[in-house]
Amino acid sequence: MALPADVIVQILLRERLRVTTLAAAIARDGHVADDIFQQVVLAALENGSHFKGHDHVLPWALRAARHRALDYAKSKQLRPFPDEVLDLLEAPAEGDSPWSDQGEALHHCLNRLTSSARTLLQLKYGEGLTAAAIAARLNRTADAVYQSLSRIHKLLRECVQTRLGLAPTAANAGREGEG
Amino acid sequence: MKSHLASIDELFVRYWDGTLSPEQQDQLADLLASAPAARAQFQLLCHQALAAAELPAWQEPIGSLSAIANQPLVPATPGCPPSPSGWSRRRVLGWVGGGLAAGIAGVAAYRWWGSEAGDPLRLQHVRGTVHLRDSRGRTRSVEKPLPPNATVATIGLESTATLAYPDGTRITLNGDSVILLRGSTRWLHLTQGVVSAVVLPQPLAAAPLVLSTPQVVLPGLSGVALSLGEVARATEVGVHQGVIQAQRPNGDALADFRPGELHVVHADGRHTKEPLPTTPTDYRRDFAEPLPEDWSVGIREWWETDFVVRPEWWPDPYHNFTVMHQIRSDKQWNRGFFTLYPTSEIHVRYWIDRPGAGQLCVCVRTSRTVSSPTGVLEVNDAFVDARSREWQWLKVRAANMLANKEAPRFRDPWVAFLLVFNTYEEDLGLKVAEIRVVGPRPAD
Repeated sequence: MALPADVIVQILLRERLRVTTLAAAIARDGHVADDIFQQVVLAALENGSHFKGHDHVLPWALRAARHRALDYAKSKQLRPFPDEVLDLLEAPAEGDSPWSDQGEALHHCLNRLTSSARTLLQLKYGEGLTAAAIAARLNRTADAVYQSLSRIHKLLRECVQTRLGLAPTAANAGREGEG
Repeated sequence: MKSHLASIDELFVRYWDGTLSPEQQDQLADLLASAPAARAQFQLLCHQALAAAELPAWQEPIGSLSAIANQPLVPATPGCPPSPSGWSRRRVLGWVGGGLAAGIAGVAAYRWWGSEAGDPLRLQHVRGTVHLRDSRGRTRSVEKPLPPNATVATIGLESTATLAYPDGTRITLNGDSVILLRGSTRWLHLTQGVVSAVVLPQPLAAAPLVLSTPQVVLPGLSGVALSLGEVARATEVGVHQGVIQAQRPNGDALADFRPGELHVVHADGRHTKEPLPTTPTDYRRDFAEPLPEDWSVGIREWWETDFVVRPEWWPDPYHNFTVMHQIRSDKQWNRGFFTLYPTSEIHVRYWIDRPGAGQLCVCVRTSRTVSSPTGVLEVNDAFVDARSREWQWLKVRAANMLANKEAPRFRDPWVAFLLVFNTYEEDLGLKVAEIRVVGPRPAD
């Protein structure tokens, strides 16, 4: 029996972050990942009669997103990871925190960054500028931009882990407690 | 393992940028293949990038950004409340998840947005000059949810903004476009320009989502992808997915708009339908025929042996309303004028009284009309070396028009939808008689 469209949409919306994260990991562009998710939803609705059950939808969507992202990466001449790595990224990790919890923690942590750090993230991932382009705007070297971005990512990771109670660090634990 | 994890942030940043060496990418792949913790971190980094892509666009002038690299990248002090503007469609979808689709959107959204609940509609991917005004004409922050009766205007060739609903539905304004939220955030009325829409299937209980123009109403949109443009007292609707039961503004049924169709509804009621056109790679335009009704800037006149178009004074909003001498074509978002590849050549036959600074700009999109990014191919100093007072050809390859800050960030093919000649504040006596595009040939 075919799955009703609203059930397919429910499943895909619930798993949206997982699908877009896989697409982003391959395409290296958040906006493209978002586009791919939209395409996958529409394609899923077109192919709804092929789904045999609820459990079929997410694996299908992940694979569809992966193929679309690989097509995009190819068009951009981006070298993809080997299939075995993509298989692992596509599969759920053991002991994963729920994506929703991770998302909420990340939102909290993004709000705690300085405006300059947020701006740098926005230029990189929102505007899609390369580190070299950002460096040219800031009159810095690309390496300095890479280092700054790396530091921001590290701060965010530590903050998220602390928030989720996975690996509290002294530096962030106090702030989180106050927050 | 710890040393691996210590370096994964920088590996990731360089990976995202495409600047890892093959050896470094192999190192990253090995790490991901061998260490579940590294994979979890990599996925969190991707998640961070996705969330960062949704941060509000930076507003500071470029000059002030030089401070960024030297500022400490520490979390804000606990006393600073989290920004209420941080929520985005992607985040909400990720965290509220299927509850929205299941019909509990109101409850969940109220939890997150508080008094802004209802049907929170937000602007995303804001680029260029974008104005948001409320029903009383007051400017509002583009970071806040859009109130009913708000007006959103994107001003300038490169300006875009996406109206994003929590369910993933999005409506994107491109270039000089204005949209009005009529009464609620579920009725969007386009008064100028072009929008593209990807509308996810709507729950039965949801209020109908409506797109309209002065000529046509598209009610109850659900599971459709379309582009909608206002052209010369007419509306063009290109349908890429789904079926739309179009109505006239008085509520009378008009027709079913189906995938692959381009419908034109005129102000006088005429309605035509054709297959969605393929934009040609070769193109020729002279000005023997009158300019189209929605030609934007420039005057057609007889000059010596030909009809030409010459610039007009025009207060350019993209240059702080400085009066400039420009020719600006009509905008052909749906149809496109021509498709460019790097080896395509643009030829312009022109006359100029005296050489000087000037440019040719070709605004382009991708080959899809829905949710397409845009960019500009430019020839700057196009007339610096021109010969005075004689007909001549400007010839340039598309690949040589990419050295500018507005260049497309997407690969070819590029579909041209707007042409601009600009001699800035100087009247150089420019006359344009003919524009040709020669697409790639087998030898290319």
